[in-house]
Amino acid sequence: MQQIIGHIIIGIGLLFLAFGILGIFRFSNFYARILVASKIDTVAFLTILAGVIVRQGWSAFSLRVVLILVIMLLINPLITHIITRSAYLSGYKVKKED
Amino acid sequence: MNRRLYNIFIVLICLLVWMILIEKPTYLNAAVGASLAIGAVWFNSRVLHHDRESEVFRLQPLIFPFYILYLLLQIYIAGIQTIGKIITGNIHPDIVDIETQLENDLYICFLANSITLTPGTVTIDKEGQKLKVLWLNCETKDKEKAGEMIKGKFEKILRKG
Repeated sequence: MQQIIGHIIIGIGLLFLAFGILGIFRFSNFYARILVASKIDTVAFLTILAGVIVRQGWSAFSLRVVLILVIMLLINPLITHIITRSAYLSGYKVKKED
Repeated sequence: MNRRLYNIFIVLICLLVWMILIEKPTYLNAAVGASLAIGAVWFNSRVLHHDRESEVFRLQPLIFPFYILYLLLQIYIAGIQTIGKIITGNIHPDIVDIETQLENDLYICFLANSITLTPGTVTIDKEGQKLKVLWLNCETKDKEKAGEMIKGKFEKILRKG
């Protein structure tokens, strides 16, 4: 039962990931793309790792995954911020989507 | 939090990470981890870190877990909203300036990172208490209205701390 719930949560995470990739292909503007792409590494990654934790149950492995989750929550906004900021400083303009 | 308490706290966190990574909770492993953690903290405070800026910043231990839970909730709400926008293609990305009432630099850092973690908004720049935010669905350019929509309750929770 626990494994099935874990797999369902991982599946939901993959769904978030699929929509993120769809968004990257759908929009042509850089800023729209990075906004959509940042969804992949927050929502999708969080959900997939939560699914892994539920699937494995309470063990040392799960604690390691929690550690990865915490590090990801700290580093991920920095990376998104740095990419966007460097694009902004390089003079990329925000264009309206067609 | 005074200096000694702070150091003990850091040692405990380092020890926790060590024990999670080492996977075998024996006394010997704990002793090795504790001595390495104490060594690292001593090296950091005596050799690397002369100005001791860490004493300026404080975190409220009671508000922090509540804040993390609220942040996770907001990440999922915004993530589901973004899926709708991807399907319809109805987006208006733009850069807005917002202002925060927070004065502590650490809290402004938390706020900016929370804004970036929430799908649909990315913080680009910070000057004092002004934040430049890239917004996927820019509804208004007004500083206060946009600030209220982007910052939401994050700022209110942090102001209690």
